[in-house]
Amino acid sequence: MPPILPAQPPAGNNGGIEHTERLPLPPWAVAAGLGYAALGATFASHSVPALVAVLVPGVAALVVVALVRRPRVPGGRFGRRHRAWLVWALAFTAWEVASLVLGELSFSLLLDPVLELYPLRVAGWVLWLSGLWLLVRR
Amino acid sequence: MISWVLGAGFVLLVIVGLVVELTARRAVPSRPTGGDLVRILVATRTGRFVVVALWVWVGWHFLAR
Repeated sequence: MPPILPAQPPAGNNGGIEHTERLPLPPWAVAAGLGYAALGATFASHSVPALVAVLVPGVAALVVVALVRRPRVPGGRFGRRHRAWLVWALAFTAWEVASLVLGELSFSLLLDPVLELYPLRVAGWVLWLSGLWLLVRR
Repeated sequence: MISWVLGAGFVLLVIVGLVVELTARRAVPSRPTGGDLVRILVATRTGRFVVVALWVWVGWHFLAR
C-alpha cells in the first residue's frame, strides 16, 4: 500500500492569473527612454512639439499592437477578489467627474504645477514611458 | 474651500490606491495587484489596444495638453 503523502500547499489565489516569464529591459532601451524623457520634458504643455513627442511613441505602440498577432495569454478573470480595485477605480472616477461638474480642481490640474518643474516633468515622462514597457513586456 | 476638499480627496485616493497595492503584495494568500489587473486586460488583442490607447491618452492629458 503506497504511503499517504501530504499534498502540495495550495498556491496563492490571485484570481487565477498565471505568471509568465517577463522580458528583461535592455540597457539601450533604458538609455533611449531616459533620453526621450529628457527631450520630451523640455517641451511645454499645450505646445505642438509636446503633442508630437507624445504621439510618436503613442501611435507607434498602437500600430504595433494592432498589427502584431500574439498568442492569447492566459490572463485570469475578473471576480470578487478584484472588488477592492473596482471600488477604488469607481471612487476615483466619481471624484474626477464631480470635480469636472463643479468646475473645480481636477486630478490633472492638481498635477500641473508639479509637472511644470523640469526634473519632475522628466520623472513624469519616465513614468509614462515605463508604463509602455510594463504593457509590452507581458 | 471646495478646491481644497477635492485636492485632499485626490491625495487620499492616491494613498488608498497605494495601500491596496501594498496590501495585495503582502497578503497571504496573495491578492490581485494592479499588475494582475492589467495582465487580465491585456490578455486579448482588443484589450491590449484599449489599454495602450488609454496609455496614450494619459500621456496626452498630462504631458501635452
